Amino acid sequence: MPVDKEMADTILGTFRKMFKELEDKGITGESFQTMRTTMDRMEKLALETNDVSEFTAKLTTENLFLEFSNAYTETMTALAKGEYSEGGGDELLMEKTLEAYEQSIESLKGNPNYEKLKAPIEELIELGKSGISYPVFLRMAEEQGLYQTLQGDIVVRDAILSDKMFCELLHLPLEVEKHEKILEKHDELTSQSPFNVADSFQFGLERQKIEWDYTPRINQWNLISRLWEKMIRTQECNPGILKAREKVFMEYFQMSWDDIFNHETFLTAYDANYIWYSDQTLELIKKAYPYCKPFGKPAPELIREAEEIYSTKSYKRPNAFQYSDEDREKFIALFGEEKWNEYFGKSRSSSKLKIFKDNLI
Amino acid sequence: MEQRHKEYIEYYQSRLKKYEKNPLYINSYQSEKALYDAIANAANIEEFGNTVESQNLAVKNAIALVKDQETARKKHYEEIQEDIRLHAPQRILDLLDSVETDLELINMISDVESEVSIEITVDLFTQEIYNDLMMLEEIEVYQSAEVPDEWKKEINQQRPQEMIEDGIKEWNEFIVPNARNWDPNWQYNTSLIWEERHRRIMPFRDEILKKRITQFKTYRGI
Repeated sequence: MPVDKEMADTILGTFRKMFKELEDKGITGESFQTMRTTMDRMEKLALETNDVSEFTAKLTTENLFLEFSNAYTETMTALAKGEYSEGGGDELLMEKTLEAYEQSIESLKGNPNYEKLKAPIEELIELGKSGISYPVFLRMAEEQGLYQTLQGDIVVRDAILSDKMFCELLHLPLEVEKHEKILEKHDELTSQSPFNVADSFQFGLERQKIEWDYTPRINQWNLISRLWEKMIRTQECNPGILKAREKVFMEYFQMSWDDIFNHETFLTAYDANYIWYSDQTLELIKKAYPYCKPFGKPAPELIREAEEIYSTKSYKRPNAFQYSDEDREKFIALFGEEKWNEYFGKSRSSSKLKIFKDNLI
Repeated sequence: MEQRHKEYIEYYQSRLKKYEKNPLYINSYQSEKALYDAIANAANIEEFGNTVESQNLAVKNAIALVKDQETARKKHYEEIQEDIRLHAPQRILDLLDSVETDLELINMISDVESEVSIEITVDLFTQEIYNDLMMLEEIEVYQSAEVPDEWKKEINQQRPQEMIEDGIKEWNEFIVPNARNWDPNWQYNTSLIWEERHRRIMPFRDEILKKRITQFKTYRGI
């Protein structure tokens, strides 16, 4: 059975487009022929393989992506050399350069950051058309950092800021801290640059280093949260199971039951309304804990208290998994008011989980 | 000196400035300087063109940039002990001196990157143990829980065995075939778990990890 057509189209779309553009121009030659053979093989694999993972693995291990890209580079280089060798000097170079930038704006269409990415390219085109000579154009583009911004530096900075805000919205303090450091490093490199634009290669390495630093700490945070979430789950409060979970908690992080409620992971979840249980239930859970031993039984007054909580339906935190006003502002800053109303209505009554369920993010 | 020549000298000067105070780009600074010197000392643009061509300065400049960036990348991966990702800068630097044209340079880099990206994908299958931690904890909890007979009905005693059966089935039907799409001879190698790039993502003591590795082998039938 072939790979799902939509998936194959997504994977092969760019290659088909590159191939067709050259085919329409009537390009021939050895490297273009290699592009054709490689393209045919990729199309054939889309029909012959059974799923996307097998398909992408074959495309990579058979070096098809690579062969296609190399042949494309070769074709384009030959094409450019042919055009440039026709003579015409700087004027022709300027014309071809601006033409290439205009084409790149076309190819950006559909990109979510289209407006931001096209701005520096338009600036370059405008500069090129302002009547200056080709070498002056090249120098000014260099000095104004336009080549670096072409690599998407503005979008990069905006993306870090949005990521940071998104992590604030989800109440992930270590992720927020990580993004702050990334932003700080980005701005530091910008200030060190003679043309006031961060070197994208250098920034990439620095960013990777910061992410690498935070990975074990973030994993630890997630593991701790996951373990206590299971420990306080009353539906599964079989004493034997709880003791076994406590043992895992102790072995991993040398933490016990009493450490849960003052730990930063719990306090963060509590402040973020991520604790489903009401304060009354949490207090009962704490009071019941000493009785929760294999072969043990809870005190009668605790059973009465539990019954009362159940009959009055006060076991759940009223605002559990609800956005606070501050969260709402952050959400709107990130996705706009329209999305807020679409997802949560004006009443703000919907759950935080809805956003994940509906795959908005 | 004609105006056009003067303007090109200023352009090459601005390129030089970009790398001037950045220690990462030592070779690029030198190769840009060679280009700048060539144009500044040429009698005219044509002479500059001839020098660039005869001394292969444009290609040398591209090679210098790759050398700088790959040297930085190599140092970076050595520092963070990413031993597999390190293969890409190592191999590119090894092959760099054999390159003579821009096309050879581009193709050589793409070849190496593609080869190493497969190695990285294969290596990342080592982290299946990390993805399985929650299941391993659940199995341990249900196997070790001390439950009085009268409450045994309350918990599903068969749960760990069912989980292990599902784990082995998933491993043989999905994970192994997926990994073998990338490397036909792939076998899970538990010793790789102890290499820093994998070890560091599991932030607990070695003795606990040893126990989890044993449980992982049972869970996945390795």
